[in-house]
Amino acid sequence: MSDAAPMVASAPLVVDGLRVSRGGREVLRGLSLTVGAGERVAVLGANGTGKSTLLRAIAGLDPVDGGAIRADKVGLVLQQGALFPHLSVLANVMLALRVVERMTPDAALRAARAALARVSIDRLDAMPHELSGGQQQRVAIARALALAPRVLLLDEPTAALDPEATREVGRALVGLSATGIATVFVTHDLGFAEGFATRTITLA
Amino acid sequence: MRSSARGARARLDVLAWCDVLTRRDPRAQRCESARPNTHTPPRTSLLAMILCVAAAVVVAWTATRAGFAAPPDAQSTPSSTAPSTTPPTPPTTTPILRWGADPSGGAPFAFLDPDDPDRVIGFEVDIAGELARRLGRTPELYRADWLALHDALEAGRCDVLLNGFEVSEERAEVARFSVPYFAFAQQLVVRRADAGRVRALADLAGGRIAVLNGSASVDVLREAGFADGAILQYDDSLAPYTEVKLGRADAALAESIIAAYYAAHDDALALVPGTFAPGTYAAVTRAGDAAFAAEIDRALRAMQDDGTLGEILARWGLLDAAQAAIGTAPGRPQEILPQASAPRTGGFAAARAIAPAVLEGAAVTVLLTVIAMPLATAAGLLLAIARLSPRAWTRRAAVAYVTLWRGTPLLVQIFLVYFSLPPLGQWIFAHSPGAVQSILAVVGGGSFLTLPPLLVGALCLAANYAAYEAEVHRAGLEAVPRIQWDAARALGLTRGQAIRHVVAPQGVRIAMPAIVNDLNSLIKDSCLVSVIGVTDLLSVCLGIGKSRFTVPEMLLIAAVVYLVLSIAGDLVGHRIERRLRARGFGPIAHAKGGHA
Repeated sequence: MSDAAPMVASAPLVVDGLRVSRGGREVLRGLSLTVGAGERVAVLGANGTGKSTLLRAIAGLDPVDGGAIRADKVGLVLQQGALFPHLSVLANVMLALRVVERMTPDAALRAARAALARVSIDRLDAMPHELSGGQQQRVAIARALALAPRVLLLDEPTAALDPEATREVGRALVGLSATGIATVFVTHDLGFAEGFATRTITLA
Repeated sequence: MRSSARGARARLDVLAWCDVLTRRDPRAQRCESARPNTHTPPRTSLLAMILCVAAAVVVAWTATRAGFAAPPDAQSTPSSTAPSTTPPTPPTTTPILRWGADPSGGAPFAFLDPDDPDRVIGFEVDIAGELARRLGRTPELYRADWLALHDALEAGRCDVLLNGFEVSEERAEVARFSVPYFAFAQQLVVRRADAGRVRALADLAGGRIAVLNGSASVDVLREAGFADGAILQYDDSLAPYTEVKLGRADAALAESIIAAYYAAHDDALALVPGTFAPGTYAAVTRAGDAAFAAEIDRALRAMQDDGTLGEILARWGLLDAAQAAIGTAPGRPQEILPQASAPRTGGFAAARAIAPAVLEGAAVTVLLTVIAMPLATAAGLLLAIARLSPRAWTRRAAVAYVTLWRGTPLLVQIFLVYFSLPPLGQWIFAHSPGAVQSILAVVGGGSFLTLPPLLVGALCLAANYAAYEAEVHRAGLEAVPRIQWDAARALGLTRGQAIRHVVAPQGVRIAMPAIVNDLNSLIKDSCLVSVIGVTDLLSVCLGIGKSRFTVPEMLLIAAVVYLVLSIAGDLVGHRIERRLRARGFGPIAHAKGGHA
């Protein structure tokens, strides 16, 4: 449950003794985890061991029972189907830039294009359903990236993807760590974890 | 109407809603989204949307306001019982005499001209015209359902009623009757086959008698010992005779002048000779308005004395011996008007004469729908969003609204709102501080809530349908997958931003088929506003049918026009749906997104 990496004061993500209950059951019982800049941590474990719960707690979506989370700016990429189907690829990425970051249209457009370029998406005007599963996943990553996170959390980024699409997503993640982003992804795919993670933890 | 939603959020959600309905086609939208000003198109289309609704409201307002300009003010009437020789003053400066009648009640009182259904004619129209002239005013007909006329008078929507109001002690307690302008008597009408058998009311014991709703005939029958179940009441003068012909009633009882107009020329019916239970019609004014009532009395008496009233009655073939008994001088001999008796037939052949009026009625129905449906859809969305609120009181307010407006009949709502708005406006005005009063003075002072019937009708329809749309939108919002909320929150959007930009636009798309369904329903429900005098499609067709003796044919025409309108409504609705689907919309797009 705990993690052997040394505590780094400047680590983008430090989780200490995290406890979270779901549906009246405590699924995370004192979990600690530190992820340094550029690290890619794969979280493995059977269903119901709290993998998604961990990500949602770090992202602040769900309340926690105890412990501490210190995280720099966090971006969360949910499971597939989280793109906004009524908005184009570009509009999906621009929405939070305009609404949350209050960027001007010009600045938002530049940031969105840059984020999409980082995951090699060029079909800016396509609607989400027109894209393949791997492309959709990379758009979802770009949507989180555009907000310039230092910690990127991904919930099953390769579920329902074919091997080629899985490699696309993995290569995108590797490219991102080079810029210093700390990555944590939940997966059931051991091959993907071994191929693209710098470190693996298993929840039980 | 928007009591249950906070202002700021309300504005946001209207934006989202407009956003959805006014999107351009997908291709155009995609081109735009590549340009920096991605977020301006929804703004401009929102503006266009608001302008459209505003324009519709303004058109409605002015259309009805044209005949509804100044608040009634009987006290300030220039007191003049001008002699009939005085030339009429220019219409631009004369005050208005707003007189109430129900043109759908039937001939020969005040009814649609069979040859020109845009015109209301009848002996009471002529009397009102002469009365107004003598008071130095311009006559203006205020239309409402007959049973609603008295409330309209009390609410100040009109100054005087002239529409076959029988003088009775009972009614004199709640209103003031003028000197009588007509003496009537009751007459029975039966099927021709029964003509020999029925000589008087006594011969009909045990039978069913059809009468005009709320008329003196009802009292006559009750006094003669007929049980309430045997008295069949109808909303217009023609229906009792139709019922006799169809065999649902054994006889019709009404004033002899009604019988003469509707039954005398019908081969299937026979007038039972002899009239009975005489009475008089008089103008009705508000009980507290003695000075104005006295003016009416003086003018009517002058009309009786100098023969003007007698001549009007003579032109309508109504001048009989009974009139002399109430002091009406006969005047010079007159030629009887063609519209005075001859029943019109011709039905479809007369299409050219009636087409303009029917089209105007259809336009009113369209106007009602165009005002009511967008308002209902927007308000419904706000209510549905209020029901998702984390605040209990907001949810409860929305639930209360939906329960109240869905749980009471639309007809009752229309009546109640129409008659309670004017006194409410007076009350608010009277209890407002001076600064507010001076602002309200710009929009009519104490009568600022005395809105035109068309507007009240449209607002009532909107308020009622908002309750239904709220449920439709709730289903739509709840069908948006949970992960969409999570994704919005993960990006840092607030609750309101998530609703506005992510959830509502998708929910509305999901709800579209049900909204189009309700649009169709609203087009037809709009006919209920005719009870407050709005001349919509159905009331125009019924009015023409009654004056031309072609009610079944006119109902058929109305049905066909409603069908056309409803098909048009469906086309508009489906066009919007198709547009949304072209953008990859509907629940299918989510399913494609992957597993859950």
